[in-house]
Amino acid sequence: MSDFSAFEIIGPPMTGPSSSHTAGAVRIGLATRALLGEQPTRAKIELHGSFAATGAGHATDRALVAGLLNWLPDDSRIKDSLLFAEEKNLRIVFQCADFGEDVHPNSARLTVVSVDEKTFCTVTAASTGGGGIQILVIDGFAARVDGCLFALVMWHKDKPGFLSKITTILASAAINIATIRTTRKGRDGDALTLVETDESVHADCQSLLGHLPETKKLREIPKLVY
Amino acid sequence: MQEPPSTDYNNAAQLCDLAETNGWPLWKVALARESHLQRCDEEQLLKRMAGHYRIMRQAVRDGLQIKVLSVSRLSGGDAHRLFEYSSSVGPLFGPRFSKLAAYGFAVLEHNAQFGRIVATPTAGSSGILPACLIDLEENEGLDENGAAKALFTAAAIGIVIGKNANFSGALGGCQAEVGSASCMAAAAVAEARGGTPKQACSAGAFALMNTLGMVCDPIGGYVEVPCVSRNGMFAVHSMLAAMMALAGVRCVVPLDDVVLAMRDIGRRMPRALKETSEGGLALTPTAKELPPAGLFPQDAA
Repeated sequence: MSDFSAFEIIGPPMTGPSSSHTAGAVRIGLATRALLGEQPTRAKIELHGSFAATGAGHATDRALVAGLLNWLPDDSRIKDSLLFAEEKNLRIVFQCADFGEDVHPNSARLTVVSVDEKTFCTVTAASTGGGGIQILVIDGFAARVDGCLFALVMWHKDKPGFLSKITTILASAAINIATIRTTRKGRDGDALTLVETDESVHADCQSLLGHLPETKKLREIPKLVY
Repeated sequence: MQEPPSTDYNNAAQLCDLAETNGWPLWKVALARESHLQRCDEEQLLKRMAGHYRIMRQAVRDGLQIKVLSVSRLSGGDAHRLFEYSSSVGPLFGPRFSKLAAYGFAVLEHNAQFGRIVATPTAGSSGILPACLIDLEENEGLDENGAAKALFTAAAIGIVIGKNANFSGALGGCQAEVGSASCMAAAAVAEARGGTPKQACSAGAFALMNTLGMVCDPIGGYVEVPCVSRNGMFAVHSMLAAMMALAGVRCVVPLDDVVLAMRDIGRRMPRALKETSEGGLALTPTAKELPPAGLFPQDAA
């Protein structure tokens, strides 16, 4: 749950025309890029609800792509992002989709592929209004990330003691943990742990966490909402 | 080090209590809360908010210059028309009135043409606070620092709405966007004009109460019709709500109850009238003549 900063209410500064369908969409793209860890070479973008119904008029398609290109919501080039994507060899397919009644009406699912075609990531996220977002699903794992803090995302094996290793490493780096959640696909199966922190986790610390035997992959979603 | 007393609150009643206990205006509560939240000193936060205000002022100025139509051809040039009218001989209600409306139009026309704005609280409602505050700057001597404080008043009220309802047209209709913006602007104007915290909350309640039920049915899905004119008109509405509160008009339903009513109405509002462009103005014969905006090229093929 967001703390509701005054600058979320009065803000963000952004390029029009819609905070949910443009600015929020840029942030969803930014979060997805961060989860892949690089600019994708291919992206499939599925649009649900109001994103599908009115997205083109609000430049939602171009805004999501702007985020994948690592642009911020107030970038003046957003309306031309598809041209830039072509220049940067990012191929995109758009589809309308129905994620069901229970999913927030401003939602998108992005499936992105790394340049070496080896890394994939699928992210479902909602734009919750006024530029706020909520990441709902990462690679099939339920997630709840609103971009108001930094979020460390770890794909790992479900093993006893893993969380205590994470907290020990973060504690030794004096990093304050705001929230920590693990979801898993069965005991001893694949799991995803999300750690929201007040500060960015620096590279040395990320490297330690990345080299834990249980860790398969580690990424950090930057703070997206100021 | 001792923790300072909490400045967080969950509703308008608690916000007013905090203000009255400390002898603070609402903006000061929101500023102290933000300072604690961001671990940042108040002076810096006020400067940052003043920066947001300058973006708003620039959006008004740029929007007033627009003389071409937007990509959809649904908006463009009307802010300029209203502004010109304000300097004609004997404009209705005097020049200040049509200028106020022109400023609301200007921000939304700029927004529709991919201009830079500040979402307050959303892009579709981003003209109301700038219009009201620029009016106070031009007519009441509000300086940048005063405008930054007024924006913290608006944020103080916005936090109440965010915590108890939402700002999303897709979840709550236009009442959640323009209604919220109007509520925040009315409170900001009332407080900037010397109103008490309770009067500011009453101003917000009057503004929001009289937007309840307003649907989000933009033509073609573009943030233009009715959004552009609505921002101009609801800047006026916000001023009127502030005026009522300052005059001491009795506010029977407190702001907290109005916010809950807004949430309730939003939940019951049919999906077709919540930013899907599947009903209302978006389904009129006029709207149907326009090319569809919802389909992506490959789907239309």
